[in-house]
Amino acid sequence: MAQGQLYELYCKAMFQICIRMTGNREQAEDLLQDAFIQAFKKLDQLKEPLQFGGWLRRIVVNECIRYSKKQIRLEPWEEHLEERAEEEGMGWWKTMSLDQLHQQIKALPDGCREIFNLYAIEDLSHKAIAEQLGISESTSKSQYHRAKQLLRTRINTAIQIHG
Amino acid sequence: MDELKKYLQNHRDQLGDDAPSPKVWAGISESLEPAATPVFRIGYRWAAAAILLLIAGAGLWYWNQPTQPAQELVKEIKQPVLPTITPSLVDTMERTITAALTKPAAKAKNMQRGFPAATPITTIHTVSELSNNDLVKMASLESSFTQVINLQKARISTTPLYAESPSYFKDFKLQMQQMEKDEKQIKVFISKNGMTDELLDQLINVYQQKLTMLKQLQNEMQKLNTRYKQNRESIDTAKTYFLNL
Repeated sequence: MAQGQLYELYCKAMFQICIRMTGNREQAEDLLQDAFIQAFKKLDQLKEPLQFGGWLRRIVVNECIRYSKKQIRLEPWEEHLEERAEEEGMGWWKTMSLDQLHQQIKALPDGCREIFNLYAIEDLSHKAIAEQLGISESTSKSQYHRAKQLLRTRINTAIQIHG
Repeated sequence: MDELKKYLQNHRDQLGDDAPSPKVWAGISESLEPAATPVFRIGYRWAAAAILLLIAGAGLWYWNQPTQPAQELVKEIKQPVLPTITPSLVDTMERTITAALTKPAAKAKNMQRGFPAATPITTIHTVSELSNNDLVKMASLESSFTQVINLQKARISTTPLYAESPSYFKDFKLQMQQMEKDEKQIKVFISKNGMTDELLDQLINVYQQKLTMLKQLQNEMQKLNTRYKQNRESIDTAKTYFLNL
């Protein structure tokens, strides 16, 4: 069955998006299921079959945004410009494996995790994130930097503990 | 773009290795095939297809009748033999149309008036201007076949291919393009000269060839995928592609 084959091909990649966005396996599976059902039901709207992967990714991301919009709780964050300049230094994100980095991203607090994923990995602009999540553009920017700083702190701590 | 974002973008596909549990696919397939819905949907589509076939059949019957005054042409249209609903709608429709329209001129002569061996379902009163309107007849025939051809094309274009490359199927594409050209040309002849038995046969032949070729293409795709799966353990997602006809 063609749908089964398409699922086999794309489920893992799409699941990574869901699990990064929710930080929760069970919720990620629910979103993945809803997104695939939606995609298969709308398959006749896909004009160019070669673009199936990109088209499906958009459906998955939109499904994650729809979920996040209902759940999002943002902790206020005071941004300091000097911290922003410091973040870029040294490429600290390369000090651990991609798998460990992925684990740290999944463990970010609700709110800033979704914004971090949408901006840094799904490549949405802060303007688009703000519109889709119903927040201001400056909130999106400051929560992104909050996520970056948290990641940096946690990665440094993990390295100090485990070497 | 900041450096961390750049780094994550470059390694986006290598982030994470979690796999969803099998219950996700179970939920998807259950949701796509609920007990009652497909019966209705397939039934609905089937009814639409049956109506189209009936129109095409009626058209064929008229073209092969000797000219008579409109008042005398009040005839019973009998139901063509239609197979029961099976999961493969395209296959079934393909077989039905091919069987119903193979050598239509010869069949129509034998039929005389009406379709053989079936229960009468309706009576239609002919309208004289319809029998003179070849374009209407051509459109009826075209819509019957086009629906089946499009269904088969959609099935092909959503089947992922794991082996070879799009260029491997070049000949199929060229053949399809040639048939589309032929179809256009026949239609031009019909619009200029009216529908003759010969042109009708040619038009039906082109549609039948299209269906045969699409079936061959699908078989070839299945063969390639089966061979690939037998020889290798896993599917390389980067090399998977879809065929755009």
